[in-house]
Amino acid sequence: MTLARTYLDYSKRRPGLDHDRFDYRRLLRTDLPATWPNGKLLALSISIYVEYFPMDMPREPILPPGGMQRPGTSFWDYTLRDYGNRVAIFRLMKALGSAGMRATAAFNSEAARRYPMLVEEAKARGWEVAACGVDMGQLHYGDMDEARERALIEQSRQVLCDLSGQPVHGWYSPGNTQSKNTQRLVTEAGFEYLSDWANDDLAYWLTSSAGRIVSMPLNLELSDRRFLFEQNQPLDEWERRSIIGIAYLCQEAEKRGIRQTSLNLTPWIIAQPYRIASLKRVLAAIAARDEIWVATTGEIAAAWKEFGE
Amino acid sequence: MREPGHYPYAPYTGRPKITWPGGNRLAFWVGANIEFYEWAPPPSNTRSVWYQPEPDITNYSHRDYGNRVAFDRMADVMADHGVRGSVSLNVALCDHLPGIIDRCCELEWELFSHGIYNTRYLYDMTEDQQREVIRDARDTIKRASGQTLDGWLSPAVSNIETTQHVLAEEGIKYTLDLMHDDQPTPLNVRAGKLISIPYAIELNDVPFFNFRGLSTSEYVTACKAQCDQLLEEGEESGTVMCLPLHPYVIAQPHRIEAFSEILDYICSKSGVWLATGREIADHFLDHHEASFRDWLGMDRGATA
Repeated sequence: MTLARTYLDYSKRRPGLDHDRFDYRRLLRTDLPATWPNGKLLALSISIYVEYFPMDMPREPILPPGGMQRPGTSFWDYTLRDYGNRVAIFRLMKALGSAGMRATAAFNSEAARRYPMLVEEAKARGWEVAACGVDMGQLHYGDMDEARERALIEQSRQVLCDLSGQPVHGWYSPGNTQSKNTQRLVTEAGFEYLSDWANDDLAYWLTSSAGRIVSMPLNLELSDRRFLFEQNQPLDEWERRSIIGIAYLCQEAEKRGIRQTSLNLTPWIIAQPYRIASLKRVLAAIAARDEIWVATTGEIAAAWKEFGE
Repeated sequence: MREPGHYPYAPYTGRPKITWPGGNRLAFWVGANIEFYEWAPPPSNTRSVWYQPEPDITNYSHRDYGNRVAFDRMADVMADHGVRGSVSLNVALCDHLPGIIDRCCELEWELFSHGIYNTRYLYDMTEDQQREVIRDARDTIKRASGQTLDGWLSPAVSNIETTQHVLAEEGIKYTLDLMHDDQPTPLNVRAGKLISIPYAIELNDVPFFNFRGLSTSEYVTACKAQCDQLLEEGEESGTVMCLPLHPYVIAQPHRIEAFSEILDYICSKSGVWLATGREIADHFLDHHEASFRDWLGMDRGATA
């Protein structure tokens, strides 16, 4: 097999990045405000994925983590994800409530449609309602049809606006996958921020022909899905690393200016009876630090746009 | 039966004794992989570049964290310990993000090549195509830093049968593409001279954390144990310990202090030579390479 001569052409080899989705920013060499407007050093959001995994979801082109993996009809997988919406999310709400913290619930609109009570419960707790597509069987990927993707985004937004009676400002792509057009379509649909990218410890602007949208950092490595579900790392290690990472960012912020992070949590994973105490200890460690501002993703995005840009 | 053919079998016993400068027993070096992943790379016949249909934003952005945030954090920790890096560099980064290269130079880090981009593999290349990549890397590193290109790790370790021969012909001193030893070894190449320096792929943070999903606590334990064992063996004959790292992995907020703890441990030991890849290669070439070749009955190698 010979390789085409063009394989050694580098047409985008130039200063800056090789795409125009966002500008390069070197965080530790950027002048930043010393604190957030309320005097805090680290803004921390808690993102809760409220998902619906259809029993007959397709495995192609992408099976998201937690998708129906078992052979045959997977009652096992389906009902365990369903456990998240029946039991675990209430346990999680209680833990956050006890810690005095509010979260952002990123809903698959199908989960909200099936269980509208969850939207009410989130609102009653002062949580933000954000959109996470329609369901886990309808991911945004690669070259998918643009009209279909636009319709999925609109369906998700509309259902969640109707059920919550509020505008929905935040977008989380289901399974954290995007098509080539997702960023533009989400911007066109009027969302204020998008939380899919794991490349920073502070918000930044994403740009497309539709304009700008704020990228709110995803804490990929410490998400319960990656750490506990995909990598099967020990729970005490998750607890330890979460606390260490937050402490480190506080310390770095003190020297170099504001920082931001998130806890990305999934009820059917982190709110199992045997895991919730670990989460409670992480929340206690956060609560014990005066320099942390715990807020919804939308509130932090709004503050960053006003102030930190 | 196919085999690499780059070296004769050399048992880890009865070898000529290696002594490191200052009477040290262990040469320790940090291979800092400073990489640039293309947003829309050309397809390869041999492997898919990304893990999901493009754009694979999860994996792209995870890696992009390195150049936006983590590099400076890693460099700060190394500077605090007086440990210089040897940069496994996707050289196009000199054009894209020269500020990072400037800092490497200020810190007196060695730059060697990890190809042009981490998304352009050597798979299926002719010798001339590989030669073009090596010359591009040499010219780019010279222009960006004034340094000579002495070391090589194929981009994404995509080296093929001809790669080591072409490296030697192009005057590269050391390669990291082979994982067969804990000491430098001379290689069989058809012309010129090339040695292998241990790269310790088992301690490479990408396979350790991303592929195998092992914990940071295990990594700390592994690195300390690696140091202890190789120091002990270095009593008999000098050994090499490499930490092959990627800023986007090792300098995550929850992991960077573990890296600091590892460096504290290694730097506290007597008998450790804090070196660069080039310094290890030069010392071995000047003092030990010929005796290894003689012992192994290998050709002395033409002078390049």
